[in-house]
Amino acid sequence: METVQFIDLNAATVFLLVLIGFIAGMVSGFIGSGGAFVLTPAMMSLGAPAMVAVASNICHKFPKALVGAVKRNKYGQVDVKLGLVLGIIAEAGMLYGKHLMTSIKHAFGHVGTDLYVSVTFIVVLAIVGGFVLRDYRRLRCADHDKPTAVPAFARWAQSIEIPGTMMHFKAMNARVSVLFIIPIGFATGMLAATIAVGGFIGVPAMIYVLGVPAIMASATELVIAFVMGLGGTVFYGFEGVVDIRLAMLILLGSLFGIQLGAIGTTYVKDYQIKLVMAVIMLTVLFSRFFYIPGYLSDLGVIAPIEGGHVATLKTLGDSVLAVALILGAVTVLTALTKGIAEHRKLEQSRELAADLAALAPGRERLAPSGLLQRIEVATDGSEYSAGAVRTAIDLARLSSARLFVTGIAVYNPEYASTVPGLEQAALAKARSDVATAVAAAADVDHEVVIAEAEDPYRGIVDAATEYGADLIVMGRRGRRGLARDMVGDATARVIGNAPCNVLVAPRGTSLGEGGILVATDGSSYGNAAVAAAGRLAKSLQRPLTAVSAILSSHNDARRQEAVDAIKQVKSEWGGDGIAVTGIVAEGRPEQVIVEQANRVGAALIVLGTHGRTGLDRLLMGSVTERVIGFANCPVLAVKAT
Amino acid sequence: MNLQEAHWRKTIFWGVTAGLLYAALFYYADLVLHLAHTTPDACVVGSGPNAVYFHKVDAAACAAKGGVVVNGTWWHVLIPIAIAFAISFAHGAFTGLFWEVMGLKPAKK
Repeated sequence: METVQFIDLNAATVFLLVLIGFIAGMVSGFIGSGGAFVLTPAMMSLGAPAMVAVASNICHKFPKALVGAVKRNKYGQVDVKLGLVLGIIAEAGMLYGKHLMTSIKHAFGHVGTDLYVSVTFIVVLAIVGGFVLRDYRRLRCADHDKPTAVPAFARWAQSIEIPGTMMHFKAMNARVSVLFIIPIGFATGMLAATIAVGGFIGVPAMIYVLGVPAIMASATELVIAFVMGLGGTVFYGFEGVVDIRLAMLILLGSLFGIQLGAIGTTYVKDYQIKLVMAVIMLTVLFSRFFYIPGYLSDLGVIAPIEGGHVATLKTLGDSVLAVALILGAVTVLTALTKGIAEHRKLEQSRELAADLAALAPGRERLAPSGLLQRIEVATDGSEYSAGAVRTAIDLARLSSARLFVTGIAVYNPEYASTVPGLEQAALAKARSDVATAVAAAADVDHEVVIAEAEDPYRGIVDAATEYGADLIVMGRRGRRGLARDMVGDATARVIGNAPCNVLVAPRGTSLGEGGILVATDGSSYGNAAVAAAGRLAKSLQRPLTAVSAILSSHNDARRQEAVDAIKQVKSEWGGDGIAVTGIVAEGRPEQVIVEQANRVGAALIVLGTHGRTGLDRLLMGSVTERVIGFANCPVLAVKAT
Repeated sequence: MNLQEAHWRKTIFWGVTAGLLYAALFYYADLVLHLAHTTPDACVVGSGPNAVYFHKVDAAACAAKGGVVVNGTWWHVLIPIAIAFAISFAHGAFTGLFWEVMGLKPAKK
């Protein structure tokens, strides 16, 4: 019989675990991956047996890997097929690695596995740390705009045709023999089972052996990490050595740290990250040397060392490890502090620019004359944006407005520094997205804007603020059934956060010849919509139809309010040379508005909006959103002030 | 409700959820560890926080230590996995928002 005792937790160990998790997470977020390599030795230093430390480390990693993989898959950086194939082979490597650890434990006890883990750490960290250091020197004088060529070995590997073993992978857009993949997966798994950081082998091997671009290798590694982490937790779980408390305490600090570290990367240069990575790896490596004499002495390989000396050596090792962690933490925090100060300065100058833009003449929402002066049209180059582009060009032509054709370079700055080419790829895609719209807008005054953002809605809103747009024009994704009740999150978020009115054009529409239909209920939102619709009708010389919806449950007072609202529109705009008609109809507002717009052949529906976002929007819904979802013509959402 | 307020609400919601999950984990820590130790066959000596667990069970040796042999239950392995997923999801959502409401954002390049 043997005992695997989990460590006792007291306030001090809990604090230390959370702190170590935080610092390791920060280092991990900063250098891209592998912060976990400090966790296993750190947990061992706190008294956890090697198996428990490795098992708990793996357990804390796999849900994080899943979240990361899902996130990066949205940016098209994950080759799921390659990740799964490598992950499954890595499972076999893990099984073997775990079997090896168990055999060592049976033969030499815990001290044997401790020694094995320490030696593996030293060998792997020396090799990988050395490579990273070489990368740092290359990066410091590299030409960043030069596209990275496929490494020579990878070109050779891709050229070898072994019948019956070939598989195609989108990551390198080439066929490669599984015989090249098996050793990579196996080694990754073995390393993960030993030191919980398989990515040290997996990522460089994908880049240099298979020819996977670095951007996709680091993302695909998350799929491998998830498959292995889940498998590893099950394997170690069956041995009864997963201490979920340790795993979750490390996770508690780690998740805070990883995001802080990732933010830190956006304030430094690529080569600085590599330098920190190399220095930390080599310091951790150095720390393991102090433990080895004790292990060797316990195993009887060398002459017994006095207990006091072993303890002193262990303290020295712990201190060096602490120095490695503190070094990483200080670097990240310094980068952040400097960056934040610069960021604040930038924000202040932006705010000043926005204030000045607001003071400039003609910057009111939908100028009183009804003439638009600066229109932003957001396009992703898809068929869903085509209607928005046509409508925006029509409006710009009729109003002689300047058109800002905006493409959004969507990328996550968390990865931009650690993944080479990510930002450039996003910018190139945004430029190609706007190409069709720019060609179509040749005869109107236009400007191309490429906004960089993690989320498309943020890019659209920021560009509108920066360029002082009177109106944002955007498309709507085609939806069916229940989904039409709720427009896309991006559209709703733009409406909620935009500094101006938002016009949403369904696919295949343009600003037709028909009139303008405005919905009003006499509220401040309705009045804002009527004012905007009236000015537009006047400037575009289109008839105006005002609609007010009532429900069968409404009492006489509410019905009278609807009639009064229509009368008010007629009296306000009817004498201005515009043909104004009014309709009070019974039914759900969105149904009445869409039906009446179809009946009169409206070119545009104008609605007031509360611009709610988040939970409020989810709970209360929005007539505007539902009208946008069902309308067959563009819908202008007017923001009430 | 503006964007800032919405972020605060979400942050508080996920923070409280993650906090409750952590509180539950440590409230039931003895039970959770007992389940982890008894995924394989185990010899349990003592009970509660002072329990000592032995694996690779030998019934006679277990009896000599005054312990009880507990047969392993394979599905106990799912418990840490479920806990890891739940906490990671709630805590991940919380920390993502936390730094943003604290005013820490990535630099725009």
